[in-house]
Amino acid sequence: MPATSHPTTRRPWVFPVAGWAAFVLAAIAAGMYAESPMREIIGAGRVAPRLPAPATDVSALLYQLGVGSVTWFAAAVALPFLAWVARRIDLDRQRNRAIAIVVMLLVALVLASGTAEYLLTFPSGMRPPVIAYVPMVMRLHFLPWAAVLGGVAVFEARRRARVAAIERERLRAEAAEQRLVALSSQLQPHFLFNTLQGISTLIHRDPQAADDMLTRLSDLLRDVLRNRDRTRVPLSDETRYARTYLEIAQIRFGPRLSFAIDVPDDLQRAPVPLFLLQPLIENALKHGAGAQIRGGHVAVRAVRHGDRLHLTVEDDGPGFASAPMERVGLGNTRERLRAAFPDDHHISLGAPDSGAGAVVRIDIPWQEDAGEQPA
Amino acid sequence: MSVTQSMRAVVVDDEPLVRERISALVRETSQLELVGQAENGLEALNLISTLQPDLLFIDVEMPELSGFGVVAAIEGDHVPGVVFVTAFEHYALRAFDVGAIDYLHKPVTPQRFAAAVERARQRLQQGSATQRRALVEGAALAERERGTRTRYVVRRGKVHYFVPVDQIDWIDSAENYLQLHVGDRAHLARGTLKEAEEELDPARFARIHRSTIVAIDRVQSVRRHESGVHLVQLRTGANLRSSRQYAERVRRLLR
Repeated sequence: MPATSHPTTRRPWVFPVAGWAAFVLAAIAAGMYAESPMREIIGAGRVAPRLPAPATDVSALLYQLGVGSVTWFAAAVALPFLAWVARRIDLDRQRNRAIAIVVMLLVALVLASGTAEYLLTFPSGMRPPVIAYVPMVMRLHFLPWAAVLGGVAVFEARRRARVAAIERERLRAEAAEQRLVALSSQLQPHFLFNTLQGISTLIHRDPQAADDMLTRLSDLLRDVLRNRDRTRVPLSDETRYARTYLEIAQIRFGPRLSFAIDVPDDLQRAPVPLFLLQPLIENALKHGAGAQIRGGHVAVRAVRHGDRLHLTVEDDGPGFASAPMERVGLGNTRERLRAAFPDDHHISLGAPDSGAGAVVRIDIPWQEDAGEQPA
Repeated sequence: MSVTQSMRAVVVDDEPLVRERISALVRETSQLELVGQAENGLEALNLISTLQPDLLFIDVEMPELSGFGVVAAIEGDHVPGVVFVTAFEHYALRAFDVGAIDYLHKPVTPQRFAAAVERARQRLQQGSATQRRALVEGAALAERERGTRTRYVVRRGKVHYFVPVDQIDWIDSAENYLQLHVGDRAHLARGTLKEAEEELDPARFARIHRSTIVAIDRVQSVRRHESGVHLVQLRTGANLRSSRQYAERVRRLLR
């Protein structure tokens, strides 16, 4: 995962302050234009912009700030609605539609507040012709509304950046946790120590066998360390790991353990979540051969059905019915499947077709050779 | 046991390589004599009752009957000193609470093994019978902490066997023993009803009397007898009486 993008939260006050300043400036500008609409229209018909005279008293200043303008009042009322609209605009997928929405909103707002002011400000007998009023509306209403929409857009963009940064952090933390969970479900200490005990025994009797076991343990450890930075690996990695793990277990348990791994070559490159099989195999071992004096058998299988990949891990232990608590151990597997294929996976527990025992069936989408992507 | 006499040891582990290593260490130690090896808990109990060893090197994590379970099932006056062998840190710590002589971490080193043997030599010279019984009680407690019981160990003569919990119809007690009723047979297992109530799954077993526990799915009918007392009939034909103290529990059986 690229770790270079820093969320833009270093100076969080810059945008709100700038937005507010822009808002105030827009208000002052609007107020200046709005200084004396009556005189403009009723008087000599001057419609060109002009600088206002300096305010001479408080009420004139307030007027210049646009306090009396219908626009600002309407803006205050419309703000929650505008924020609501802004939140729903999907810029990534619907850019054109977003632009259309903003233009239509602007036109609608200018028309609405312009019409309202036209009707409210002028007594019915004294209304100027609409054609003379339009330029004034453009200046008195268009600018403030554009400023308001701009302000809303700025705040929305800030909010989105913040949400995205939080989401990015969350995903990163989640991915890290997934890997940690995957790793911690890996090579439990007792497995390691039992294996070391085995090696320590063999050294005295059969140095070659001890060497073999040590090599397998090294393979296992190398796999754990090499895969540390990824969340998905090719199925071949998982089967190799499973095989090494079971081979070591077989040396430890002796004839009490047998196993079979059936994964066709053409499925080996399919991407699967890292260490997906491992906890299942450990469970199968623990509740099969590990829990029965007579020993047990573990079977791992992969089958492709069209665009689905079916993985099963099976043991001939007492099964789930007699020990429902064992399901708890599958929490990690479920979590990892959910992270890898959010709405596109299925996991079920049951009894194997052959009769007694426990089987975990996993159904995930088949993907050709996408297993090399980094986490 | 005199100082000069060697300690007779039994080694128990389900993994052949571990058994082999510890047995080798026992053979190499002049103070020890290897008298037996067992690969599961039942074999271990059979060896203990026939050989009466002084010292037991026993794995905690074994199929069907754990090391704690083995020690908890030891009957009679002769209780060997116990050294637990484990790959689990938390069991090692628990082993000391239980009253074991020592525990050995896997992989077991000769130095650590020798230290355990030395501790055993000292302890076995001064240990009292009460201490030994305390070890059995401690192991039973540790075993209860590991989860719901799924089987009882029963002894007939010097042979031990399992009675799976789901075969039991009902249980009553006699002194420090439980009578496990399976069909028309009864098996004697060490334990009290209070312990049984704690270690059996409450969804499957209910206590209906100070001296009776029934398997809920074996109950055929429950009839009111007198105020607060019910007659519980099992499918096997057994008729049991509940007591007032457990009336509420019996009423829940009716639902």
